[in-house]
Amino acid sequence: MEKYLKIFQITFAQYFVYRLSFILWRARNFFNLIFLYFLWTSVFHNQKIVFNYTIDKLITYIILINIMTAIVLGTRTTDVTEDILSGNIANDLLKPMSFFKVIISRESADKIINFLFSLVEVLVLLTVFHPKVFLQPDFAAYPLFILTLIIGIAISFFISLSLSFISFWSAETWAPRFIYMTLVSLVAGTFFPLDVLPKPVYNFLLLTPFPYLVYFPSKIFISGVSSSLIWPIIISLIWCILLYRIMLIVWKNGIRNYSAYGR
Amino acid sequence: MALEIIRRTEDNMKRSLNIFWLLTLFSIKTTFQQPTGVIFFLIGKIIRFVIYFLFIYYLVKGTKLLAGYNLDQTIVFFLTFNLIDSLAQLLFREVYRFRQLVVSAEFDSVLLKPYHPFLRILVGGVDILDAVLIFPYLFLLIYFIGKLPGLSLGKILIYSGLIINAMLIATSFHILILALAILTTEVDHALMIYRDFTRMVSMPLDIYREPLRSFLLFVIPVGIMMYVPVRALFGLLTVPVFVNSLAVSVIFIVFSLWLWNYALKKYQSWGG
Repeated sequence: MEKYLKIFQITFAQYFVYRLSFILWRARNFFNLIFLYFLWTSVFHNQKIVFNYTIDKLITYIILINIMTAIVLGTRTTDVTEDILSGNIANDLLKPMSFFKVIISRESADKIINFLFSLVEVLVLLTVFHPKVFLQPDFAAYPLFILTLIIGIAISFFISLSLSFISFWSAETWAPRFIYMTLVSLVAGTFFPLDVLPKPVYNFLLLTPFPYLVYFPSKIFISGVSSSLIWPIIISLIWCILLYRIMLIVWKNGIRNYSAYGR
Repeated sequence: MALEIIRRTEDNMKRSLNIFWLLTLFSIKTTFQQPTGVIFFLIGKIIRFVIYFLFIYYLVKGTKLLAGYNLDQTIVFFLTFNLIDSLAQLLFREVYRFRQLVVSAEFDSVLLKPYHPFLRILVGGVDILDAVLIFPYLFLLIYFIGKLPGLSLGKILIYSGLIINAMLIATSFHILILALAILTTEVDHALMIYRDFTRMVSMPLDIYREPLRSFLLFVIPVGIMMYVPVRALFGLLTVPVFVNSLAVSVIFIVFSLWLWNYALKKYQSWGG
């Protein structure tokens, strides 16, 4: 356990070595938050309710999305691609450590540091613009929010790691990742709440894993607990298990296929 | 004497165009060496555009107005942003690869070549995939501009002129990033921050409060690039804003070239 804690600490420290790079990355997230804040504030300029949302609920939604994107979508699994292509993964596999635990240690450090910085960005927004925010009065929603958040983290991790494992077969991993990131930026709810879309489109999206990354936990925080959540929670759990199985299959086949050429 | 200078300038321009054409052909060939990547990349770009477009469509259709603009006007803002953004990516894709040249000191070999380094590091990697998408953007733009009331040839000419002005600013931005890459070896985030700023004006600038609005208009002149041309098209552009836009563009171009020259003097070929 201690060695994984060390990896966690080293990963954490790495961000303070490449400070400019990290600060610029977070600045980009902050600009995105500002853009969404002004866009939605403008939409509510002449209306009190838009797509069944009040302004305080929608601003809370984009604030939550900023924080949850840092936790759920922040990832170091992209390093695995480079490790496989360069052959460095052979070194990792020879070490007396669990490959997956090492990745989880790095992933945790990445998520925590991104989470802390996203909190600072939200605090800046709240301090400068004083928007009204919505706090869910139904405390039953909070455990469910945490549960769905964990499911979202797991789904994101399994997809991202599976995409990295593609490099066991091909060097062209950026293309599927580009499509994945495009889909995430649009149909995961990072730009707008998905229920503003027409009902058939929304219902179809609920069958895919994307809404469960950041939209669904945020929706629970905003709308509270209701019986309509049962099916989406079941679907998200099915996706979680399915994607875990897929990741393991891809890993097992990939490692069997891997010859570390060039090493 | 004057004729000799003109002849030499013509020869130089022809030579530069030939080199540009050659580098473009190499870039296209390199792109198509990864056919799967080409397909995925195009699919990704099309999906992104279609979903954003539909989102804006549903959003403004539901709310009727966005910052005082109707649906067609908002879409013209969005399409103008897409056109300028894609043109910039089409021309300046090589800037994304510049960091590697600096840290490996391969930039030395670029500087030694008997042509201007911008031919290689600024426009030497034309991205053909963005060229494919420009045609649908243009088609949609012409369609939605055609739906605007009170359109005149004068407005279209000023709009087109300001789009060219926007491309000059985009060129300056990319030269600035090249200069920063020499000074700090930081390219990726600087480029993405530039693109984030431009994305902020994919919607009318009127959604922002002051002083952010003026900041995006005159300090980081992305507003001049994407907002001012559309305002001219709607007949809402005032003479002071028009004159200030041109002045800011000139200042920005001069500043980027000055910074580039300054950075070149500081280049030490560390990785060589």
